[in-house]
Amino acid sequence: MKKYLLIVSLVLLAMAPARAQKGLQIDSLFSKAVPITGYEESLVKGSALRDYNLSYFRSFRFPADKALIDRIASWIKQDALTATSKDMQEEDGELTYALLQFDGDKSKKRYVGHQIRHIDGKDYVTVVYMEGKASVKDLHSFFKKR
Amino acid sequence: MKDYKEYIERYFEGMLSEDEELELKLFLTSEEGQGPEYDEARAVMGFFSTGCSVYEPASVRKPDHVRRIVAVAASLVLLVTLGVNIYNSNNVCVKMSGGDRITDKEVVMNDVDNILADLMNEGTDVESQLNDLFGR
Repeated sequence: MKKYLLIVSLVLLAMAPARAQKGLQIDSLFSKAVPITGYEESLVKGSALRDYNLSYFRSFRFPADKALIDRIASWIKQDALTATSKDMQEEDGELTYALLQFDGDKSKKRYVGHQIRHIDGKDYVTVVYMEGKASVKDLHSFFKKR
Repeated sequence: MKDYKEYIERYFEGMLSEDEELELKLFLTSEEGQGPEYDEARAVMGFFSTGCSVYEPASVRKPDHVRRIVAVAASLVLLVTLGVNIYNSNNVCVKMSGGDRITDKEVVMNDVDNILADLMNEGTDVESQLNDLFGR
């Protein structure tokens, strides 16, 4: 009986969904703790990302007002404090771009990306979380000038 | 009508033939056999019939090799189901847009491609800056 319980527990554990970006401030956005309307979300895991040398990709893109932009920027800035490398850009004191790297583990690097785009009079925020073996250099060379 | 009380007495003495026992059982399940005077017999005979089905002789039970095949088949079904579930949970490609769920891999990956290209083109590529600087 104990053996069966152990097997069932292991099976359930293996099937339990884990939040990849857990432990980061930006998890509040991905776990939808903050109500956001009109968003587009992409989630890709596994073989589809093989070409990019990534294993996990999740993005949110949504129109945002000043208050929401500031709130997300504050999460990104807090996450940047624990990042092992970061590339951040500001315009008029407002964070407009960030690419943060965490862990520095060779087998799995973790990245948080943040970008603000001004389209048709609206500000759109894109937040990305990704994991994989690809380095920043790999990603730059893969996507540069495409 | 037969005297089933006498049948019951002989049943408890173990003197009833198999045919008579079957007849008694049929009587006890009939409408006439529902009287309170037959309660005890019904209870005892019911207990024995239940006990027989639980502790049936080994010869009536399914042979061991059949049970083993059924167990192996059930395990295989479980493993395949588990494998498919794990594969599906590890291989996701989906986009949510305006309440629509898009699972077309080409559409989703095109979106991922655009987002990453946007992100990487805005960032500071230190290596290419050094290359530009030193003309490499």
